[in-house]
Amino acid sequence: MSTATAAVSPTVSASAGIVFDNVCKFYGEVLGVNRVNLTIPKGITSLVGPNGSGKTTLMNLMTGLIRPSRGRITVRGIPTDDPERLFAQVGYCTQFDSFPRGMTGREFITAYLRLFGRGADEAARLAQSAIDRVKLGEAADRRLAGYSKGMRQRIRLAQSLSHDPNVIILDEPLNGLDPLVRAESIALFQSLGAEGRHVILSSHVLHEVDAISDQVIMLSHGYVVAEGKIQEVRGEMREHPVLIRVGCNQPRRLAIEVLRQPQLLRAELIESAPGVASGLLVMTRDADAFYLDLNRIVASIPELEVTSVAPADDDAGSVYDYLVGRGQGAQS
Amino acid sequence: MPSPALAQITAVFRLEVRKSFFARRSLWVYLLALAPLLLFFGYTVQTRMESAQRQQLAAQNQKPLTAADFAAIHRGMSEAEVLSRLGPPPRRITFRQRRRDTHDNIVVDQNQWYRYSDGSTDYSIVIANGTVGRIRSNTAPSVNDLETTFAGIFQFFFLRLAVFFGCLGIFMNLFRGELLDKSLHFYFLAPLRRSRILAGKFLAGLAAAITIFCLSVALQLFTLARLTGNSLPHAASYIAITALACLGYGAVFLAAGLLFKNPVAPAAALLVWESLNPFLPALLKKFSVIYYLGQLSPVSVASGPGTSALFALLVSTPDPISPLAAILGLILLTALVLAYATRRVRTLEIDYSSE
Repeated sequence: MSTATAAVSPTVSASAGIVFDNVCKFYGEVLGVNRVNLTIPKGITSLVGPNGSGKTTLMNLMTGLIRPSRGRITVRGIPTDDPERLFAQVGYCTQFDSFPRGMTGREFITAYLRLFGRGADEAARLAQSAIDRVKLGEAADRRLAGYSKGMRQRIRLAQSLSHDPNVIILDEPLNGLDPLVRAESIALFQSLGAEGRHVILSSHVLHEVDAISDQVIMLSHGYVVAEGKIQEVRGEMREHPVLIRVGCNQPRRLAIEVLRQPQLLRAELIESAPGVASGLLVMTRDADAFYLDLNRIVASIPELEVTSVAPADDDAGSVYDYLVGRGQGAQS
Repeated sequence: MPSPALAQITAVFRLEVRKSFFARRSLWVYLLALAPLLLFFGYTVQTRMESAQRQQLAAQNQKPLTAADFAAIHRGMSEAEVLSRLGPPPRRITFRQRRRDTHDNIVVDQNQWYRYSDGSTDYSIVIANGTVGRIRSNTAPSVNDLETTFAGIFQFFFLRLAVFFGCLGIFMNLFRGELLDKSLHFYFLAPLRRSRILAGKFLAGLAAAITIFCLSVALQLFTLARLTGNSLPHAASYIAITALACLGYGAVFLAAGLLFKNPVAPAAALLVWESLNPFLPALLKKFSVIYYLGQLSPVSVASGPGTSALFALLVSTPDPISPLAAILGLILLTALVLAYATRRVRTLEIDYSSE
C-alpha cells in the first residue's frame, strides 16, 4: 500500500496478479498514464478518478488493446501481447458502445464464444448461462440495435463473463443501470471477488465503489496517486487532519473534555434537530491519541454514553480530494 | 473435429462473410460488377435488333444480293445503274439538302437515301442529284470482333476499374470499416491470434469478391454466347483471371486498410501505379497485380493495325512470362502483402478516438 507513485513492492507473486512494471503510455504527445508500478491482487480492485485520469487507458493496457510506450504488463504471468493465452483468462467489459451489426444479444455472446474455437452446442450453453447471470433472458433474442443503454451494458457484461474468466475487467460497469440492476450487478461483482477472481472495475462515482472494493487505485492526470485499502490510504495521510464523528448522549460535556487535547483542532456539535445535539464532529491531527483519550473520558464520566465512533472522511471521495489537492470532491 | 485454429478462422469467416456480402458500404460493389453485364446485355439486345432488321431488309430485296454486288457500286454512278444492279431499295428516304453554289446562291438538292442489306451487312447509299454521293456499310460484328471487344472491356474496365474498386470496397472495410464502426475490439478481446482474425476476414472478403465478380464474368460470357450462338473460348481463363485479380487486389487493399485511414489516397496512388506499370523498370513491374494479370490474358487487344502507339504500349507485355510463372508470381506477391498485413495487425491498437 502506498500513497505515492514510486515503485510498489509486489504483495502477491507476479504470476498470480496483474503487474504493471514502470508502464508509460503516450498518445503522440498526450500523456495516457505515466510511470505506473502496480501489482493488483485477487478480489475487487477499483480504479477511481475523474474522466481523463487514465482509468480506461490502464484497462486497455492490461488487455492488450493498446501497447505501452514503455514498461511491461503481465496478467497472471501472461504478457498482454499474447491474446491466445490472455483472453482465456481475461474477460473485458469495455465502454465501447458498439456491436457487430444485425445481431441479437444471444448471437453476440454465442459468436464471441465461437471465436474461442468452441462448438455450437457448448457456445449456446455458455451463452445461456451468461445471459441468465446478468438477468437478460427475455431480451436475449432481440436485436442489439433495439437494446436500451442499460441492456447493452448488461450484454457486454455477459460477454465478458461468458467464458468464466479468472480476471474480469469492467470499465464503468454501472453506467446506465437502473437502481435495481445496479444493486444486482454490485452483488454479482462481490460474488465474483469472493470466488477468488481478480475483479477490476473503474468508476468516477467514488462512493459507489467505496463500499464494494477490497482496494482502490486512485488516478489523477495519468498518474497513480495512491493504491491500497481506502482506510489505510487515509491513515497514511498524516498531513491531513482526521474528521471523527462521535455519537453520544451528552455531546456538550464531551466537547468540553476533548477540547483539552493538544492534538484537537476543532469540535462541532452535530444537531439531529434544531437545538438538539446528538453527537460531536471532531478534527484532530492524531486519531490514535484521540481514541485513547476518548476511552479515558468515557471511563471517567459514568453518565456519558457513547453510541458510535466513526471516521467521517475516509471515504474514497474525501481521500481522492486530499490526494489530488483540490477543494471540491471528485464527481460523486 | 476441426483443429482450434481452423475452428477459430471458420468462426471469423462465418461472421465476416455475411458482412462482406451485405454491408451497406459495399452496395456499390454490386453496381460495379453489374455494369459490364448491363453493357453486354444492352449490346446483345441492340445487336439482335440490328440483325433482325438486316434479315428483314435482305428478305425485301427484289433479288438476292451479295457483297460483290455492293462492291460494284461506287461514287458518281448514276441512280439508274444502282437500281439496275441492286433493284429497288427496301428502304428509301427522300430528303432535301440546302447548300450554296459557286455564286453563293442557296440551292436545294433533292436527295435519296437507299438502304439495302445482304443479311450480314447494311448498305446506305446516298443519291444526290441523280448520282451516288456517299456509300456506307455497317457489318454485324464477327465472333473475333466480339472476343476482342470482350477482352478490351475485361482488361480495361473490368479488371482495372470494376474489380479494382470492388476489392477496395470489400477488403478495405474488413479492418478499417470496423474501426470506423468501433466494433473491432469484439475480435481483439477473444483468445485468438490476430493472424487468424486476418485469415478469416481475408477469406471472407475473397469469397465475396470471387462470387460477385466471377459470377459477373460468367454472366457476361453467357450473354455473349447467346449473342454469337457459340460459347466463347477462354471462358475458364477469364474466370480464373478474375479470381486471381480478387486475390491480388484483395491482399493489397486489406493491407491498405490497416495502413491508411482514408481509402481515397491509397486507391488513387495504386491506380496510378498499376496504370504506369508498362513504363516501370523490370524489377518494379513485378510489384504490381496488373503485371501478372496482363500476362494471363487469353486474347490480345492490341493486335489490330489501327491500334495507337500509346494504347499498344499500355497493353504490351514487354517481359512476357509463362502463365504458370505469372500465377506463381501473383500468389507470391499476395503472400508477401499478407505477411506484411499480419505484422501490422499484430501491433494494431484500438484507439477509436483517433478514427
